[in-house]
Amino acid sequence: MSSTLESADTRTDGSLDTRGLEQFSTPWLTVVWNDPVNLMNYVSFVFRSYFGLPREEADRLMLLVHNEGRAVVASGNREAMERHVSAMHGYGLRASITRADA
Amino acid sequence: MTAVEVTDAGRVQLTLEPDEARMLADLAEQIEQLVTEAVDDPAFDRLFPPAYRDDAAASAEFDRFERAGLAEGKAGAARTVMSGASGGDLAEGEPVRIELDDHEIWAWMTHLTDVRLVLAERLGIDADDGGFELDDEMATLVPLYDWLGWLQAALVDALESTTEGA
Repeated sequence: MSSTLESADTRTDGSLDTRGLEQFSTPWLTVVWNDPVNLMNYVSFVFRSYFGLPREEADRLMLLVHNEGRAVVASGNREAMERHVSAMHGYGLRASITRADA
Repeated sequence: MTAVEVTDAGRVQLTLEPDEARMLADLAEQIEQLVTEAVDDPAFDRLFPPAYRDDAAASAEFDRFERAGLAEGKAGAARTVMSGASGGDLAEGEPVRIELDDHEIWAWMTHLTDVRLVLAERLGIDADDGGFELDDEMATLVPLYDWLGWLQAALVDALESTTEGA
């Protein structure tokens, strides 16, 4: 996040432009939703392959999706989350982007 | 006999009955047409779900940038399956043997997902418990849907076993 602070504008009165900071400090999330089609071993394998997660973590997230209906699988800036969601749609998983405070 | 095996060289090999191979090639052709034709389809909500659940404008913007690439990815996977399942010059009744590299097996797995997403929409499958009612014509699709799921799970298991300890 160091680049975030560096890029924050310093106003002439010396105060920080907090609009910029807010935008960066509220991360976006990639959420994967349960659906009746996708197979449990496939979902876990996608999480391992795409996010490079160890098996235990991939299985934990997959079970969250299955049992709770959804799981947050990534957080960060909006562009990165859109890349993840696009990739998940490519795999046929139901995924969406949301703000962390939504 | 349909089989998914791992060869001595560590490749995933799929063996299909001629009828199964023909059906997979036929389904792949239909999916390829579905995603490349510019006609909206009820199954698109499953193939290309909204990227922002509560923001239609942001979802539309996402689609504007991502939809064409996603559709091409799904069409490409369908073509990989079509060419694999078409099997070349085989004697009548010979099983079709297809050896899949990493790229091809991912194409198969994602494509089988896409086929099942479309079938699930046609069948009205909306929940995990499978509670849905069908007329007789649609009911004939249920064994196909289940078989495609079995095939996909077998491919995942096979690919997993080749990457284990790698």
